[in-house]
Amino acid sequence: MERRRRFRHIGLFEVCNTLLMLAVCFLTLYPMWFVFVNSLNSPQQASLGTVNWFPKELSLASYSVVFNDKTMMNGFYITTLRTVVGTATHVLFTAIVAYGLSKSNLIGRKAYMKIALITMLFSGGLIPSFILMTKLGLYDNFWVFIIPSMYTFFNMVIFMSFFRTIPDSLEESAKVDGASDYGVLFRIVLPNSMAVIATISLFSAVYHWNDYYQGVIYIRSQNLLPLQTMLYKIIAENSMSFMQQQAMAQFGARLPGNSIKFASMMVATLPILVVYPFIQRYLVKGVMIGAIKG
Amino acid sequence: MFQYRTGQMKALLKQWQLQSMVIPGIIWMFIFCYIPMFWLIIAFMDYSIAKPLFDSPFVGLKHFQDFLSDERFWRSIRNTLGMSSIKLILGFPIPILFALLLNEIRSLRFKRTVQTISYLPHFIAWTIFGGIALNWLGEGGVINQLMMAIGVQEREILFNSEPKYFWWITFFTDTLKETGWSAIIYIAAISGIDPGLYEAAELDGANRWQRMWHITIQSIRPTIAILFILAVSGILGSNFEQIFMLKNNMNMRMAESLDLYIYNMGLVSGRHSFSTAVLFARSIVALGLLFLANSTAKKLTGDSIF
Amino acid sequence: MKRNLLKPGLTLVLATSLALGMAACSNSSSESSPTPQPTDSTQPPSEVKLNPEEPAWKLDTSPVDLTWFVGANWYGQTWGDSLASKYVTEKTGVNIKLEVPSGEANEHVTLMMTSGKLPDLISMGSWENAVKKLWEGDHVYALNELADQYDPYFFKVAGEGSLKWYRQENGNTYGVPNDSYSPTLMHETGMTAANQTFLVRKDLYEEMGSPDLSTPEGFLNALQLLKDKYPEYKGQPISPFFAQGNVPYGMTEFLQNLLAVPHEQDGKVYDRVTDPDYIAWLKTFRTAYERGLINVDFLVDSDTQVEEKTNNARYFMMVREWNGMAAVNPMLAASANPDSYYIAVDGPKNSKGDAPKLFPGNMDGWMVTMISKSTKNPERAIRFLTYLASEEGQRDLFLGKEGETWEMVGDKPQLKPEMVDLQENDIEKMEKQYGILDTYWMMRNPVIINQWRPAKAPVLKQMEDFANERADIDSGIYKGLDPQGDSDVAVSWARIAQNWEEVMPELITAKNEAEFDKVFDNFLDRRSSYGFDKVMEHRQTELDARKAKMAE
Repeated sequence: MERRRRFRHIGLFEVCNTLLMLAVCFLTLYPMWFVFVNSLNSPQQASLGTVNWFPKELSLASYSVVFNDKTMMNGFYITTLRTVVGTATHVLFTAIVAYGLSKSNLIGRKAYMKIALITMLFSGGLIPSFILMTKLGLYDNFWVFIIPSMYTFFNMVIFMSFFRTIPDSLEESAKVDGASDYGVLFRIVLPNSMAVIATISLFSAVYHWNDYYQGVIYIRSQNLLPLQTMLYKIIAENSMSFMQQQAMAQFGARLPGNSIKFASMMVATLPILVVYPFIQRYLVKGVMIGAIKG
Repeated sequence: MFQYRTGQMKALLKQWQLQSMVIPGIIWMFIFCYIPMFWLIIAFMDYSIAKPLFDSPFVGLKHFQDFLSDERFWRSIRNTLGMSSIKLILGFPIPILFALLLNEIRSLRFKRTVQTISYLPHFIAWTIFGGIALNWLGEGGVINQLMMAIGVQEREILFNSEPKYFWWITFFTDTLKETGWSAIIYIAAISGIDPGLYEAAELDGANRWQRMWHITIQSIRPTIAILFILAVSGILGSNFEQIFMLKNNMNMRMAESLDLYIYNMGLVSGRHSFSTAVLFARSIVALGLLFLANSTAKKLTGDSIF
Repeated sequence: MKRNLLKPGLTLVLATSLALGMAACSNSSSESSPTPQPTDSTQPPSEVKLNPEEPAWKLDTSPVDLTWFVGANWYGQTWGDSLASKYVTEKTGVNIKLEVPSGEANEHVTLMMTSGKLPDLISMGSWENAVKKLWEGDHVYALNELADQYDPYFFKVAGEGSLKWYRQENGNTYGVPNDSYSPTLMHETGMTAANQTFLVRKDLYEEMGSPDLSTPEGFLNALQLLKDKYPEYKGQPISPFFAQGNVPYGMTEFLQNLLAVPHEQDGKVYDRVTDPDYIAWLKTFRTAYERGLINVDFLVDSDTQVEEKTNNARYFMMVREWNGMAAVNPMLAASANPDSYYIAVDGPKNSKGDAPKLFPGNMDGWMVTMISKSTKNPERAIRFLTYLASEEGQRDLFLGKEGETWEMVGDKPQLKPEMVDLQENDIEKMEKQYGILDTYWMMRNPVIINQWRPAKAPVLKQMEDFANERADIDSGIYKGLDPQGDSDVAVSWARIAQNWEEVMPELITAKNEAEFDKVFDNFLDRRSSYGFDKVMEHRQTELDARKAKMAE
């Protein structure tokens, strides 16, 4: 009797929860669907405005324009490269720093933390950063995507707090066996931190994939432009000043059509979407503990 | 004294490996953060881009006085605080709640699908996402049709032309766009919980809610604390791209956030010193808030960033 | 690519960069100090032969690369693929690498200035703050000095008028404009480059019996008729009204021009916002809103929403520049409702019924082109600009190569029919493959090229003629008198202008006239507390200076 009542109660919760999740799916899927159907709309129809549910005239014309654009494909290459290299360096560098800082016996830890903290809140702004990049030879250089984003305070703190939850006994035993700090980090701590590594990798990869700003500011050569910077150019009419817009209309310039915009967006977004399902396997309950136990 | 120093040196040498992990990070911060930070000095100058830095005159606190005496600055503070408070009070728990509820889904496949779908909007730029939102809120949009169908309103309302709705529009659109993304960190934290804890609790007769409260929430509490502390220190910030997309002349008086104010009154006309002064002041306030939030969290829950 | 990836020395720089980095901040300026003057070894031996009657580019047609920054992030053309650009490169030896900012041009150039490395040639909107900074910071060459030294023919082709117009206090001119119109010329040719029009949807307007829109009463009656009988027309909901660039432009300057509000009275700059006719019309809009005849959509719609409504001909009337309709009108004329395109008609007029006084093109033009001091080839750069400004250069870029894209008909060059056809039907192909007409507009001189332009479609011509007829040719001088940049008076003006953007919607949605008056009076008070006197002074000084330049 008692058991049955509890069972029924759970059933109701389960149903509600599933319905809620379906609603969330609907709401969050729609914007992507919107982009998708509009990318399939024929350019003529697209000029009459966006559609909400289905294309008025199905057409792949916009995709063929995007895929035939050599600069876009080069942008694709740059973006992929920076995502891979950038994520690897970011995770490695940030994790090492965070591990050092997670040790409470680290001499100067308090000072280091304060130094790190200030960097999150104070920044000199764009102009000095630009001058700095120029002086470092990073202006118009591929490494401008990598080195300045090797570290962020936020991810460092996430790493640090995770490292602290790893039982000390685990590290102690390795130390007794004669492992150095680096040995402990690479052979014990990191293998047991797959969940957090996966998460930070995801954050970093998505950042690198989505970032257009570095490209806007620091890149001058066409062949170093990331995909998202090109996309930004295509969809950023809104960032244009009124004078610019007026001049454009006045002197007969044209912007890419609506459907091209949406097709470019699809092409630029789809590859990064597959990263998450790939990373999810590391976000399954018990991955870390299981590893420690084993 | 000498003894003490050598003792410290010895200890330092003993942990050279740990130090060598941290010091590159500190050097990195020095180069990429502290050197540019030197530029904050222009907040006290009348800097002109056409001239070398130190050819520009020092003007003391002129720019600070400028914005502190501007009623529009205070309006932007009010708007920023308004939007941030809604986001903090109502918005902050939403991803946690979402992660918790998602965690209760039994089917692994369904769970992963929901997870993946829910983070999709994060990848749509605000220029596009805002456009969709404006469609929904505008003439003939979904919201108007819905409201008229259920009889809440009689005729169409241009929601975006009414200042009173603006804070809520930013809140709802932001929630829709970022909940799935923000939940990832909690989902990751939940995945670190030892399943044995749940089994033990179930044996003790704990029901679903008790397990959620005593095990899941308690286990991810440090993560929640960190994010909350950071969120508190960021309440003078706003999502510029979002507001830029949704604002217009009619809702401006509720829409102009501090960021937008800096943009309108500073960057648009190339007033670098003025913008820097506002940013500088904001950073100082944020620093104070951070320490406050950190020590409060430390006292209440024992969790903190530093 | 590879070289960029593995830039040597980078790691070294990073490892030892503490000291160097420190220098990065304090030394930023030394880098941007002026580069060597043109009087160095680059001077060609042939200097003696310089002849002011003869273009100097012919003296040296060896290959040279120049980078050319075009300050418009939407500009997508390349150099070297199209027929016209190849032809020009072959002829002059100058190969251009076009550079376009990914973000805002103004920001981009500002940043490049701080690093002291600029592209060889720079074209950017004449209104941008960075232009002034380039001149003040000595980042670009004085074109007159370069011309004296390398190519005196420049003075012959650049147009005395525009050189004078852009001359600075130190007597130098740093940039040449494109699309610049001088009043004398407009009087001579009747081509005024005026854009402002008042447009209505043709079929709807005619079905309504071509109502009078020029008086407040007529305007309100027409709107009432629209509301009663045509809330929907041919299957679509109709939006009664739209004003381009809403408050700061369409509902202010533009509307004032339609009402022929003067710019100047008795030699003094006139405060146009307080003009009684203008206020009367704002009140008319208020009444229309109160009666539910117009909505506030025209004040809040995003660009995308506006575009969608326009492309579907959903607006009844528009305060709008006709150029913005250049693509739409032919499209509407070819649609299922061939009469749904827009025509220019008489819109709001002042109480005396005066004809509108529309802005013509002006001396400022659109973009100014400059030669940066970072260039290694100042002499080739000035010669190239001279060539582009000359009739020959204009023809080569606008029409292409004789025999291939154009031919002589009588004594006049004319585009081949297939090119005209291409322009109408596949303008993208025309630009990519041939690169003619408006593909490379950076040095476009309308005086020269307009004679070669193919005739416009009738649905565009009607609007253009309307604007030309009502243009006030001498009013170009009043355009953009407001202070710009980061000076105190400019800040005052930015404050006032931004406040006006918020006040206007309040005026239109005011419950009654009393409230309208109250809001307006409050605005005037606020305006003077922000320092409006100074703004007026600035306008006056600026106007006097312009008049003096014109009179020279």
